[in-house]
Amino acid sequence: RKHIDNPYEINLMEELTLKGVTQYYAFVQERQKVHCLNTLFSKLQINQSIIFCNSTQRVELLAKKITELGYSCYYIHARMQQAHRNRVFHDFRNGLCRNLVCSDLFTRGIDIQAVNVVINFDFPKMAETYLHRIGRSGRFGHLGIAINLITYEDRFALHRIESELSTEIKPIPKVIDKSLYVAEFQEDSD
Amino acid sequence: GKDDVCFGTDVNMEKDFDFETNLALFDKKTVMGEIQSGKQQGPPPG
Repeated sequence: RKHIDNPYEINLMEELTLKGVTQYYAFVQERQKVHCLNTLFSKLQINQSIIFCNSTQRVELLAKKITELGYSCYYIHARMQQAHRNRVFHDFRNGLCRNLVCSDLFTRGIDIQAVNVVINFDFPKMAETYLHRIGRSGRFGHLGIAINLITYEDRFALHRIESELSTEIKPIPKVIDKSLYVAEFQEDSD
Repeated sequence: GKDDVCFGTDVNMEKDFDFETNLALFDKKTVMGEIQSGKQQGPPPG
């Protein structure tokens, strides 16, 4: 910076937005989370999904569970080598697998059009983390749903995240309107 | 620990998870209101 006179700074990073993402929560106990996720898999019309956990250990445990339940999934977390991580993400982006389990690796939000469902298997503590998981950059902004598995322990984080992001996470309805997240049901997709 | 509780127990997957019954166990509006007014003491920030 000291070599440039009067630098003109521009921020090329597009801002993340929650616009277009319908956010729901399911109230669960820790021991109910896998059951809840299994039901979501069977009920939702998932094109591609990303499922977030709060630790690398839990990413591995959950990926194993999901496979046992009969769903295919990839997983990536911070303790994997970068080259391996890139390959898995590349394959997921190309649609080789429907579900991706991961920890917090995305600093710019997820920009995969095909992902129409994001599930916070573990609810994050910080608003910034929540935004990075759920938010979309304006350029790729499109409809989708986010489902948060909330335990009673998460109540303070829920309060903080809703107020810091000025957003509302609503209780999951009995039937989720497909036009909120399924491409062929969207009326005005441009 | 928490991970054992979450991943160690085998649940009956034949029935669907009951979202409605579980949602009824959490009065979000009241709990959020209590946190807002300081009635529920949160963990220290940071």
